[in-house]
Parts: sequence; structure tokens; C-alpha cells
Amino acid sequence: MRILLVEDERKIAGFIERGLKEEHFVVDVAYAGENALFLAEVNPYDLIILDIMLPDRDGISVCRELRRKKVDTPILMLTAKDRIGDKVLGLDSGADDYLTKPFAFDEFLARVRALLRRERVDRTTTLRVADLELDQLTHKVRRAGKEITLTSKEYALLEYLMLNANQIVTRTMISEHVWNEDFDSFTNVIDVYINYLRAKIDKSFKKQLIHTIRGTGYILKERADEI
Amino acid sequence: MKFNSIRFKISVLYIAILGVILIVYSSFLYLSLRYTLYDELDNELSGKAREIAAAIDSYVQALGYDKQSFNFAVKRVITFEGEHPEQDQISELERQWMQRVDKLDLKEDYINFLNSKGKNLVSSANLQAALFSLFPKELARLSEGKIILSSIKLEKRNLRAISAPFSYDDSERYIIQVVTSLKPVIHLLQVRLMHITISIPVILIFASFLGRFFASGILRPVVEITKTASKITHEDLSSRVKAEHVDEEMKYLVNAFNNMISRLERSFQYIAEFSSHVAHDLKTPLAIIRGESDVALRKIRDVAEYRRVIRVTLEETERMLRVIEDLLLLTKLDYRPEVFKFGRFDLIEFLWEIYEQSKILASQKGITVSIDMPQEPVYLSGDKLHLRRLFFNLIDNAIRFTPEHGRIDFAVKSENKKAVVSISDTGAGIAEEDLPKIFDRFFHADRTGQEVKPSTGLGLSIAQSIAKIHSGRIEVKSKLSEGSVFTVTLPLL
Repeated sequence: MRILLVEDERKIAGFIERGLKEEHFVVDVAYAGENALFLAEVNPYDLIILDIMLPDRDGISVCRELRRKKVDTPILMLTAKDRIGDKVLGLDSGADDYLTKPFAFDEFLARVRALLRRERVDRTTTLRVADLELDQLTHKVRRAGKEITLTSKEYALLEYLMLNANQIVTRTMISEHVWNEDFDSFTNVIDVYINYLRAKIDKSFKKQLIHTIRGTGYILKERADEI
Repeated sequence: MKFNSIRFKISVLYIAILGVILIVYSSFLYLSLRYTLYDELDNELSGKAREIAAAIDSYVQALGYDKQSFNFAVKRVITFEGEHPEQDQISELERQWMQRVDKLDLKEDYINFLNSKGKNLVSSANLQAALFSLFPKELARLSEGKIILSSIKLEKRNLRAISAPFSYDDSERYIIQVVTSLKPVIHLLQVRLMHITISIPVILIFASFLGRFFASGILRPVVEITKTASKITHEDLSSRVKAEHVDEEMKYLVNAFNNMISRLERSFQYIAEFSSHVAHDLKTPLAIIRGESDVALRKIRDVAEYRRVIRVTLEETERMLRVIEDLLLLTKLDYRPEVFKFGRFDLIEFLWEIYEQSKILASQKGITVSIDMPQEPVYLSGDKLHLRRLFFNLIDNAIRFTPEHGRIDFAVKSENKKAVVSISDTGAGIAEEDLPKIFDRFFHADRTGQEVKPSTGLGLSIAQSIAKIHSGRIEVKSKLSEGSVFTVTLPLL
């Protein structure tokens, strides 16, 4: 899942980015409102974390602008202002949630996950496809009860495929949600990682879950013949 | 009805005044009526006496001036009785006299004819009661030719009498008395008096209601103000009293009241913003400490990472300390300027020290510092410690916002009993719209880059407070991307 973090205090942006990356999220950081708007328009983020006090334009107006431009990504607002009026203003401007600083990182992560769950029909923290299980809290992956160890990127890729289970996922989509701005589109790194993933979760099992759809992309599902 | 209220007092005052006016005026009208009525009656009586005298005169003229004729004339005129041999010669006279009697209603009056000693000679027919006696002094006055008018009460009847001297041939003096009833006059006056005594209280009662009604109207703005004042809390300062349809004097009160609320509203807003800023400036370092610590503890890290987190914690703690210290200083400056210790010192020597120290600070960024100041000493009265703070706040800003290898120039001059110190830099400059705000508390310039030691936003605010306490001021001129000039003016000894 790809997150846009908009925060002007570099130290705060620092630990949030590090913390999120450790949770296998992919993060882009913007230090100002205009930059944030640009990035949000160009990239499809799964979540936007938006600080209210920004140097060039305040977070509230950025939020309004995003909604006006029909960007309906979930938005989590951060700020040191905690008066009721500020919360109301923030939420009414289009944010989905509001967290005041200083916050406990655990709570922050829980809210991030909650907002990401919103788009899903099945709202648990454990993703399941056939006998493949992915626990979003512990980051443990099992197939047929056997635990599988994945690298950070492999995990992120698998999580994305499972979140979009039974739907075709194009390479572009993968590049946009599992990689950040540093992604180099001229490599075949996506194919490479798909292979890594297949080796770990499909190879020693009877049923293949990851399928290639020629010319389009990939799909994670139980049966290949039902498309 | 409260006895203490304005309404009550106004009402009482107004009723009292109205009451007094009504009573005085009514008394005046009543008395003047009374006087007129009596006066007219007296004139009437005079007229009647004259007519009787004239009638007797004409009779005597016609019949001859002898005693017999005179007696006949008097009797005839007054009682309509008597006979005389030449009576038919005066039939025309008689007829005329009868007419006069009818016209004057003389038959209703009592008429007496007395001699000069007051003895009654002839009385009109209707006079059955005792004679009217005249006191000696009145007799005397009558003999001098004066007319006497008097009011008499006889058998419960109020009467008015005129006594007029009469003589027909200058030898004998007589007195004609005509007495008439005062009943109509008295009755009229009594009715008038009753009207007055009834109507005045009624008018006053009615007026008192009217007065209370008007007083309420005038005092309505006071009620409005009270209601509005009750609605105001520290959270809701939005109500105002409406000032239309309000009288002149009340308008002043209403406007003053509304203005006061506006000022309070602004003060509260300022305080709320200030608190908000403080909260933000203290919460941010706390958020950093918490966040870094939180994330660090989620996994086992290597020693270098732990050291980094501890260092960050220390830095942010320092930052918070600075903010708190600055705030405390500002509060002290605002409310307890006596923490300042004023002493006489030489500004030139003082600034030279500061210049030397600035050079060291600025050298870290390769910034050159120059100074241009007079050779002779310039004496000031001030608190050196705080003035040093003032100048270093300005210098810190200059260094922070000037890029590497820039310039900072000090210029000192004394003119008009003031010392003028300007610090100019070749730094980023300040946007025109920000210029009035830079001395505000917690105003942070835009974060253009990473600052090694982020500012508290209070530096300029503190500098300005210090300048004010020294009866001086700080001014700024700036152009974006070119630099800024801060000018400190302090009064000399």
C-alpha cells in the first residue's frame, strides 16, 4: 500500500516514514502543500497523511482542494491543534480521520489500517485466499498452516495482490501501489518480484494462486479458468 | 415597584412637579374667578345703588324739592308704596322705574334707606329681619363720601351689601343700602372647587401610568444591555446590543458597551491564538520525542540507532526548554519590568564586544561582519544583560537567514539625543506582507530549509519588548532575496 505523507517538520516526517516503511508500507513524503497536491494528482495513493500546519498553504485547504479534484483517497489529518473546533473543521473539510500530536505510534498505525480497510468488503486484518493467509498485524504469512518468510517488498506485493484478490492487477497498478517515486519503470523489477513470490508461495503447493494474464497483468485467485 | 428604581424616582418627580403645577395653576384660576365674580357683583350692587339714587333724584326733580315729595319719592322708589297728589305727572317716570326694577331684579334684593346716623328710614318690602346695623367707623367713612361693600351672613344666608352715601340737596345726608344674595356666586365657586379637587388626583394618577410607560421606553436599552451582557460568556462574545431606535444619550452607552465587548472578543481571540501557538510549539518537540521513541522500541535496533534517538530526544528537550524560557521572559517583560537593572554604560564599548562575538558566530557560515561606529563614547542608561539579549536575537536571525559567505553590517550613530544602531544583512529578506507580523509572538518565517537549531518564534518579540522597556524601538526594512535592515533606536543620557 502506498502512502503520501505531508508534513513539514522533517523530524516528524522522519520517524513516521521510517515507522511506516517498517510496516511494509511504501511512502512518499511532501514537505509542503503544493507539492502534496501535485503528487496526489499524479499518483494513486491508498492513503494520505496530512499535517494541518504547512508552510505554504494550510492542510485544511489542501484537503478541500483534493476533494474538489475528486481525489477520494482516505485522508488522515495530523496536527498539534486539538480544540474541538479544529477537529470539526478538519473533518468537515473532507478528512476521514484526525489525530493530534503527540500520538502513540501504535494508535497511529491502527488508524492507518482502519482507513485502508474501508475500501474493502471483508474488513478483517487477516487476508485469506484459499489456504493462503496474511496477517496484517503480525505480518506473518502462512499457506496451509506453514509459515512463509518474505522480504519487505515481497510482503508488500503479496498484500497488494491479496487485497485485490480475484481482480486483474496491471503492472502499472503494482508500480503505483507497491513502489514509491523511486520506481524505475524501465526495469522489469515487478516481474522479478512476482517470480520471487511464486517461488515462495506457489511452488511447493498444488494449487497456483498467482496467474499471469498475458498483455494485461497478474491476478491472484484460486482457479485459473474462471476469469 | 422597587422604591430604589429609576422608574419610581422619575415617576415620583414628574408627578410631584405636575401636581404642583396643577395645584398652583388651578388655585390661580380659581382665585381669579372668585375675584371676578365678586367684582362683578359689587359693580352690579354699585349700579343698583346709583340707579336707586337716580330714581329718587328724578322723582324729586319732577315733584319738587319739598320734604313731602322727598319722602314720597324714597318710599315709592324702594317699596313701590305711597301716594302723592301729583302722582299722575310722573307716570312716565314710574313706568320707566318699574322697567328698571324688573330688569335689575331689584325685587329680589333688600334695600334700606338710612339717615346719616344709621337709623333705618325705609326698607324694602321683603326685609322682615332685623335691620343691618352699621358700625360707627363705617358711618364715618360714609360721611366722607366713601362707598362700603361688605359680606354679611344673615340667618344662614350669605349676602353682599353695598352702603352708598346719598344726598339730594347737599343738606341732609342719607345712606342707600342694597343687599343681594351671594348664593349663585358661592354655588358656582363650590362646583368649580369640587371639579378641581376631583380632577387633579385623577390627572395625576393617569399621568403616573403614562409616565411609567414612557420611563420604561426610555430605560429599555438598559434592559437590552443587561440581557445581552448575561448572554456573553468567554466562549460566546458575539452578541451585541442593537443601536437603532435608541435615544441620543443611550446611544453612547450602547456603543461604548458594544465596543467594549468587541475589544474583549479580540483579547480573547488573541489569547486563544497565543495558547494555540504555545501548544503547537511545545507539542511538536514532544511529538518528535514520542514518535522516535515509539518507533525505536518496536524492534531491536543497533546501538547507533539508539544513540541517534537519544540525541534527538535531548535536542527536542532543549528546544522545549528554550521555548518555555522565552515565554517566561516575555511574561516577565510584560508584567514585571522591574526585573531590569538600569545602569549607565558606554554603548560603543558594549557594541564592540557584541561585534567581536558576532564575528565568531558568523564565521561558522563564512559570513563577514563589519562595523561602523563613532570613536567617542556614547552614554546610555540601560540593562546591559537584556540589551545584549536584544542584539543577539537580531544577530541570530541575521546569521540564520543569510546564506553562506554573505555579509552582516553594523552601523552606529547618535543623533537628536538618540542612539541609532542598524544591523543589515544580505539574507533571504522578508516578504512585504509579513513585515508587520514579524514582531508577533510565535511568528515563524517560512521554513525554507533545514535549520540546525529551529527558532522559538519569540526572538523578535522579546527584542521589541526589551526595546520598549528602554523607551526605544526597533524598525525593519527588507526586500526579498536582497536582505533586511533592523534599526534599533535607544534614548541617550
